Amino acid sequence: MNVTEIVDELRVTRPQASDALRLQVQALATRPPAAAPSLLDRLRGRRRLLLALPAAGALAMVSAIAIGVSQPTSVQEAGSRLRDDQAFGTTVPPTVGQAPEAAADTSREALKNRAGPAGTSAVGPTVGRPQRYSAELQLEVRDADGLSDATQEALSIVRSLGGYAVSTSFGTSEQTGAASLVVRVPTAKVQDALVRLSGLGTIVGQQVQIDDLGDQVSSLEQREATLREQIARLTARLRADDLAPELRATLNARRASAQRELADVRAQATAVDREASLATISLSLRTEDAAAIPATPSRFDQAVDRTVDILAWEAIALLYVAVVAGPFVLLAIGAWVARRTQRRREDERLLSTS
Amino acid sequence: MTLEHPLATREPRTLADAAEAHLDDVLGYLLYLTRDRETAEDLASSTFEKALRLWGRFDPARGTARTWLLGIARTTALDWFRAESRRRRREEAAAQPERVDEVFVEGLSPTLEAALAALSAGEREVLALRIVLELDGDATARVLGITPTAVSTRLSRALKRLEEKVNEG
Repeated sequence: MNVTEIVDELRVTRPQASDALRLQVQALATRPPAAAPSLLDRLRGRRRLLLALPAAGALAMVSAIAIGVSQPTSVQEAGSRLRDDQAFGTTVPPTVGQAPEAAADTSREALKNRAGPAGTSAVGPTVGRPQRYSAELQLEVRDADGLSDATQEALSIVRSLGGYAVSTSFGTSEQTGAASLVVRVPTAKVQDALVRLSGLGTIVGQQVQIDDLGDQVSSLEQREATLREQIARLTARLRADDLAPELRATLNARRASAQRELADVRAQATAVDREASLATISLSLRTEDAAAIPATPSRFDQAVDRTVDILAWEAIALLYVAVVAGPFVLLAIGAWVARRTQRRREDERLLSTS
Repeated sequence: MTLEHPLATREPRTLADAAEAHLDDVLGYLLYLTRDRETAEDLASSTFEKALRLWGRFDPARGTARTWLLGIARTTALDWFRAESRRRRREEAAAQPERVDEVFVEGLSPTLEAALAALSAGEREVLALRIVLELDGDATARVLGITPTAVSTRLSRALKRLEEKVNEG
């Protein structure tokens, strides 16, 4: 008997169900189910996951958009606060060349009004008080020629007031250009300097920062007096002839230390005096074209930016969860695969021995 | 009342239709696996009970109703084999012989019947699916949970062994 004959015989004798079994199964198959399968029952396993992933993505996107649209003004408010700080000359860090400055465009007229025609509203130093005075002045000039003239004139003004330039940079391209100067002028003449420098162009920004150095000076003076007194005392003790050599050496060392510290304190006091005697002015000059500042983002752009930010945070959160949960998920998958493989092997073994 | 599957197209629309069309296949497969008609009929009945519960999950896009029912039949049969294995281990001391029909498929020659009995359930299973029920390689692979290549190999070995056993007898 060959394989073909075996196959033919197997096919010819294909088993048929008895009528009794057929009736039993038909009765069973036409029975109503215990409960109609729900939508979740129909969306089992991978299919449910396939539906859940885009749903979660859509939910994340919709919530980001909803939050982005419902709170679009926060950036604008922050910008306004920053501009106000600049206009009033409070202790906001220098803004030259920094992004926040770009947002100050809309308040240019307000700045002009606040600064006055020649910047005379800038707060001046208090006479008789040691103060660190620094000012920033942003001016706009007509064109590149005007920029060159204004730069020259600014240096001339500073020199005429007894000051000097710490750094200067100047750059033009055809009709546009910008210059930046950091100058130091005697504090007593800083008001005069600001008034004259403001006259070189149109004021677009101004900031003044004044730090009182009175406490620092007092502290240094007090320390200097204490040290002098200490040195005098030590010197008097060292004049005695009956001092033990060890004690004399100790007192000498203490006096030398106090003298060194006194020298440091005096150097610091001199530096503070110098700091208080010279004000620092950062002057930024630019042509009108170069000063073209991007318009404040529209409400729509702000909403989009915020939405993108929220999506980025959602992605970061998702990544965090993936990093934390990833090993456990991998372990669970590994265990599941191992169990499944083991079960299949058991089944095969069972069938091969039955 | 009949339970109708919403996605069904050319496939049986109800479990009753599927039972009518594929009961012989399910029974034949179980008969070859168990070599006992009474057991095969019990398992066939259990298979359709399970199918009734799971009919809502049947997706015609992923396979035919025949393949789906045979898959359930296989799971049912494996559960039975496990239970039988445990029972046999328990009763080993009593040395009760395994109950199988002398003639489990009507019309088979005694030589072929004996040769089939000498094969393992795994070998009879692949013969039942590929030869008797004439399932193609992919459908058989889906029922057995192995690759079509593995099905071919397993079938080839089973036929060779069956031929040897027939010619030995």
